[in-house]
Amino acid sequence: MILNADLYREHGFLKGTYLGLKITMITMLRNLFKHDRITLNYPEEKYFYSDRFKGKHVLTVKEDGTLRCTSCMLCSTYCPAQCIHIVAADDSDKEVEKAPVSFEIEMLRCVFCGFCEEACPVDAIRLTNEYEMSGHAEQEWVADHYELAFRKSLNNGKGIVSTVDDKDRLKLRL
Amino acid sequence: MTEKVKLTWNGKEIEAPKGSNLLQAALDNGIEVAHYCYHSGLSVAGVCRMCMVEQDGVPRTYPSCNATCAEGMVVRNDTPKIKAAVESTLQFHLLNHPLDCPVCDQAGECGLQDYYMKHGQYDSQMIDKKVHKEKVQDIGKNVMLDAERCILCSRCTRFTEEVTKTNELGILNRGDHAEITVNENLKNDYAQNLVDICPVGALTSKDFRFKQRVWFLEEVQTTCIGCATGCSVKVSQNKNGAYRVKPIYDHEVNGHWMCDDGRNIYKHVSSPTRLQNASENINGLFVPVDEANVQNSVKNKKAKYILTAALTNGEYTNFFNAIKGSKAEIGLYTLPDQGPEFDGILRRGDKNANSRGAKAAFELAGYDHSQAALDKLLNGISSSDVVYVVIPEILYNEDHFNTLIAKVEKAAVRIALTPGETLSTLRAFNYLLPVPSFLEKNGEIINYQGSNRKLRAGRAYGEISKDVSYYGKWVNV
Repeated sequence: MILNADLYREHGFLKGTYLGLKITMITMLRNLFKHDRITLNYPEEKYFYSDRFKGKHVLTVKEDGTLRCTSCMLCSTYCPAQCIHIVAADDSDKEVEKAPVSFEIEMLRCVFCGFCEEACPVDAIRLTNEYEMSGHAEQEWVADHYELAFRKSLNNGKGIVSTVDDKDRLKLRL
Repeated sequence: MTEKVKLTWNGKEIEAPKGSNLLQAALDNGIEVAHYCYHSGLSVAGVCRMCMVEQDGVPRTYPSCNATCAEGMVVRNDTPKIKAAVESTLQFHLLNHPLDCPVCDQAGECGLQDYYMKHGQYDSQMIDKKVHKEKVQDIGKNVMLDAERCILCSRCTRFTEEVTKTNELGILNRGDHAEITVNENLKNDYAQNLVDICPVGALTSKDFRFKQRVWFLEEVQTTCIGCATGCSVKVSQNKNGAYRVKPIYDHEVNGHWMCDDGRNIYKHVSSPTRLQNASENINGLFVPVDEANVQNSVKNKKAKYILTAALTNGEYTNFFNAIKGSKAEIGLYTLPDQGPEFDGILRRGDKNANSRGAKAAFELAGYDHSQAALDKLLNGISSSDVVYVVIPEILYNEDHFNTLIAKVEKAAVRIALTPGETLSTLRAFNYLLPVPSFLEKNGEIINYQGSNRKLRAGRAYGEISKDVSYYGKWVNV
């Protein structure tokens, strides 16, 4: 609130205070009975950011439910915080060939810059508008691929389907 | 001494032996010429058409790999005509390329990626479907073939034809259906060189497959300790471990190649089961122990040392200096010969990396390095002795070594100095003490020719300072 010095200069201290309090009371009463206030009753009410918000990561899945990631390691190469750790392995499907057996992000190290999203050639990692990531100190802060791809908030545990599925990729190959 | 000629390449005057390869002359003088099929260790094929040059007085452009140096040649490969030629050639190479760089192990050191950045036409003009060939073929000997990624440079077929003379690989079919095929699985002992010479990701190593991206690796140049040849190699490693061994060109010893046995020498160095601390054997389990305890147990006992023939010259010198004046007995364990004495390319039957250096050091210090002396030492072991056995880093024949371990068992205290893993056979020892592996020490070894080969230290994954000579000092404790 901005102190209005003119109020005191014009009306003196007592009346000035009274006039100031009047504004406060009017605002308070209006906010009590009319619902046009800005403050939210978090956590009962939540603010929804746009999809462009850079929040908690998600690993997308293919239509068959497996991870879209091919573990090319471009995200972990590009990551300025060096918080992405991927272990790659052979996939039994010859078309897929390479898939991650473990994909971990150290959430406390991550700076949410979104470079991983930009580096990814297959739309396998995205940053969502989930911003609630508070927790306890003793909690495990390394998110594995089960959490990143299949947590409850993502399509009720089914995961988000990538826009670049293998069939599309093969189609692109002509 | 061959006659030298002067020629001009891109306006720069260079000197080369008369009649030598024109492309090689440029590469030797630091001029960049794009090429896939040319390899200085193989014959000239001239199939990739990337190394085109223009010569003054010659109307046509021609591939430089198939030309020889002559006095006064004026050659250019930076003219617009050549650039257009290389661009369209590369476009043809990439026509059927599957573009699976994200899953390809070659990404980062791939010839197609490198030249695409320099000479690539960024928009494809192709409207027809790409030709698909078989991916992920295991063709034996730790080599994986992806026929789709191949650009048919024929380096691999020439390698099996000229170097190993086994002819397992060939190019079948015609036109865009031509592909590399194996008539039988690879059977030569130099197969992994195919992975090195393949300029693209068609031939990749099964051992290195998907372990690490190449841009995460740093290289240390050292010498292979797999046999007496002592090839120049580089070991790719990072903070998580060592990942692969590749040969370095060395015209005196190994040329361009190395054998498949040498590719495995890195494995014990960063193995998760590598011995890190001094350990005591408690009913077959190795438990970390304070070094002072080990020192106490060897007090007032007669020391006997059994060294291997793969230590560096410096280690032998330091060791003999450390035990000078003591009554310690010293024997030299040499690995038994494996296979023929020399297989005609590189590999030798003598598997001891530094047998010449070891023998010279033993003679200089006045000790006997013969097998008879070792047998005498082993037969003379009594219950008042402490025996130190240096475990060979590369153990080709475990049974032969186990016979030595069996003879050691009479001693009161048996100590193994190991640069590698805690093998189950080491249960015969009371204590295990870590020593540096070949990748953690600087020094020299002497190969079969008698020339000095350098070992260079890279990243450390275990003990780095306490080598054999440190434990040699314990003789006076």
